[in-house]
Amino acid sequence: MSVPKWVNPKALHAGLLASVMCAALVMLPGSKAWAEYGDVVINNYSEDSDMRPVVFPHWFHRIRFRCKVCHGDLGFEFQAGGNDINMLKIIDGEYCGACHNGNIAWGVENCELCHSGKPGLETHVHGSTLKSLVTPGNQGQ
Amino acid sequence: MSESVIRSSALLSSARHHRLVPALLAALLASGCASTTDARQDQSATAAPVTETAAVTPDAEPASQSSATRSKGGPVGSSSLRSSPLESASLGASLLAILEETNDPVIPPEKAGNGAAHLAFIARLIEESSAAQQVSDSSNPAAHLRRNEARAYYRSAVAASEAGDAERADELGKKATKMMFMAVRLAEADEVIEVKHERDYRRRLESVNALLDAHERVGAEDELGTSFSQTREVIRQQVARAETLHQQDQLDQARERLDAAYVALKLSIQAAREGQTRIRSLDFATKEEEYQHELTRNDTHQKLVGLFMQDSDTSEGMKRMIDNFLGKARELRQQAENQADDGNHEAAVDSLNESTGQLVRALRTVGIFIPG
Amino acid sequence: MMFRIASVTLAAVMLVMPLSISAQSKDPLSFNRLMADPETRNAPPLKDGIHDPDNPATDRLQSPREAFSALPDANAGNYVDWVEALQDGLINPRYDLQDPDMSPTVMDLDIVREVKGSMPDVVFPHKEHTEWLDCANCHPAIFIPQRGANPLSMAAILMGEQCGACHGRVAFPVTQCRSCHSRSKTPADEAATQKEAQ
Repeated sequence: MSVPKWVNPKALHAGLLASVMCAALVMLPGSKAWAEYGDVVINNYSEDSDMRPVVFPHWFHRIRFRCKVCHGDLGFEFQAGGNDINMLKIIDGEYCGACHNGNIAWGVENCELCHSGKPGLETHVHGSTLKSLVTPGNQGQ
Repeated sequence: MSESVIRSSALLSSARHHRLVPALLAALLASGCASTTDARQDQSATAAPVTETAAVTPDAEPASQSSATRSKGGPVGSSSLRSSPLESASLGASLLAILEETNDPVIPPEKAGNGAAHLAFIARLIEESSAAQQVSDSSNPAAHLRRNEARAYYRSAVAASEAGDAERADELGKKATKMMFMAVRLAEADEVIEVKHERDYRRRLESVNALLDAHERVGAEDELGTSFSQTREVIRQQVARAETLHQQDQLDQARERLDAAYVALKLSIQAAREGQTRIRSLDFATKEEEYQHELTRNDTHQKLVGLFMQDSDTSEGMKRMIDNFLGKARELRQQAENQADDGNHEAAVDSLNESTGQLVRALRTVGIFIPG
Repeated sequence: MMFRIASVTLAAVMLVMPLSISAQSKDPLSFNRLMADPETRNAPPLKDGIHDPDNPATDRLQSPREAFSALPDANAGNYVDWVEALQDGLINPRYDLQDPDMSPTVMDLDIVREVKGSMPDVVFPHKEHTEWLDCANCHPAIFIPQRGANPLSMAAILMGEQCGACHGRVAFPVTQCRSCHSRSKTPADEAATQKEAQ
C-alpha cells in the first residue's frame, strides 16, 4: 500500500490497530439475549406432566389490562407460582381461564402458546432484582 | 356387507356399548343436552341434539370412515341389537359416527414422528389426567359424550398425522383438547373454586376493615366532621350486611355487597385526601431504635454494592479500591456491634454511620452517583 | 512530528468514541452499566433465552420490541416508561374485569419518607400507583394504611418485600434511584418536617 510521505507509518499502524480493536469490540456478539423483564416462568406442575413450563408475559397483558384487573378482580397473588394454578381451575374459568376462553382471548386448547418455556426452568420472575442478588452472575438469565 | 352394517357391528361389538348406547341416546333425546359453553357451537338450544351432531359431522365423517377400516374395538360381533331408534332417529349416521368406537379409550400414537409427543399428551389428557378422572367420576352424561367426541377427534388427528398432514393433525388435536375441556366443565367440581372465592372474599374483607380504620384516622386528623363519620357508619352497615349473607353461605351476593361498600369507601377516602402531601419524618424514640435502623441501612448498602458490581467491567485497580472500602466497612460494623453489645448505642450508631460511609465510597467508585 | 501526534490522537479518538456513545444516561443517578445492549434487549421470544425455540408455537408469540416501538423509553426494566405511556394515552388498558369503560379511582396523595444520609427523600405518589392498582392490592397486605406503621428498609425492598413486591420484579427496578429519591433536602424541608413531627 502506498502511503503518503507525511503519514508516520508507525502511528498509522497503531491507529489502524486501534480502529480494528474498536470495531471488534463493537461488533462482538452481545451477552446472552435478555428475555423480557417481568416474564414469569411457572413450573409447579407443567414439567411433571410432560409439558414445557409456562411463560407469562407481563408486558403483553399490561398494555391491555391494568394491574387491578388480574391482581384485584381475578385474585392473582403477587408471587410467581404462588397461586397454585392448574388446568382444572383454568378450564373452570378461574385465573387465566377467565379471559382465555375463546371469547375475550384465545382458548386454552392452544397448549403451546402458554407452555412455551425451555425445559428445566424453575418458577421465577425473569430479571428480578431478588434473583440477581441471590444468584450473582446470572444477570440477564 | 354394506358399510352401515359394518359400522353397526363395530359399534355394538363390546359389552360396554350395549349398556352405554341406550343410556346415551336416552340422555341425548330426553334432555336436549347440548349444554355447550362454546360460543362458536352455540346454535339454538331447542334443536340441541341435532345441532350438536350437525356441528360435529363435518369432521366426524372422516373419523368414522377411517375408524371403520382400522377398528380397534375388539372382535366384530354380529349382535342383532340394532335398535330402530338408531337408524330411524333424525340423528342418523352422524350420531353413529360419534358413538362408534369412541367409547373405547384412546392410546398414544404408535409411530413416533412430528407431533407424536403432543398427540400422546392429548391421549393422556383424555384418559389418564385429573381432568379425565373428573369426567369419569361425573354422573353427567353430557360430559361423557363430550369426552367421546374428544376421542373421535383424537383418532382423526392420529390418522392425519400418520398420513403426513401435520397441519390437519394439529388442528384436530386442538379440537380434541377443546372437547375434553368442555367435558371437564360439564363434569363440574365446585369445591376447588369455592375455596378460592372464599379466600378472595376474606382478603377483600380484610382490606375493607383496614381502610375503614384509615378512614376513621383521616376523619380525626383532618377534623372532617360528622358527615364524614356518617358515611363511614353507612359503609360499616353495608359490610355487616355482607357478612350476614356470607354466614348464610350466599357468597356471590355477599361479595357483591362487600364490593359496593369497598367502592364507596375508596371514593370517600379519595375525596378527603386528594391533592395532599404527608411527610413521615424519621424520628427515633431511643438510640437503640436508631441503631437498628442504621443496621438495616448498612445492610442495604452492602447489597447495593453487590448488585451494582455484577455487570461491571471493573479494572483490577478499581476492584482493589472497592475491596479496601468493603474491608473498612466490615471492621467498622463489627466495632459498632461490639459497642451495641456493651450498651453504648450512641457510639454504635456513629460507627455504623462511618461504616455506611465507606460503602457509599465503594458505590461511588463503582459508578453510582450519591450526593453529599 | 506533527503528523505522528495527529495519528496517535486519531487512534485515541477512535478508542474513546464507542465508549462515550454507550454512556447514554441522561440522569446522573441512574446506573447504565446494567443497561442492556439495544441490540439484545426486548428480544423476540425465539431468541430471548427462556422460550423454547423448539416449541412449535414460539414463533407465533409477539416480539416485545415490536410492541414497544411506539412507547416512550426508559432506562431499565422493560426499557419502557409505562407511566408516561398511560398518561400520554399511548396505551389504554382496561381498569375493570366486568366493565370495559370504567375509569380508575385515582387519588393524588404524596407520602414523603425522610431518608437518613445524603440521598434525597423518597416521595411515594399515590396518583401514579392508583392509575394502575386498586387500594386492596397493597392495603393492608403489603402496607398498613397508617402513618408510622410501615418501617421501610431498602435492604428488604431489594429482597422483594415492601415496594420490592413489584419494583424489581415487574415495575421499574431499584437501579432507578432518582425515580423514588426525588425530593432534595433543603433547610426549609428540615423545618417543615420538624413542625410535622410535633
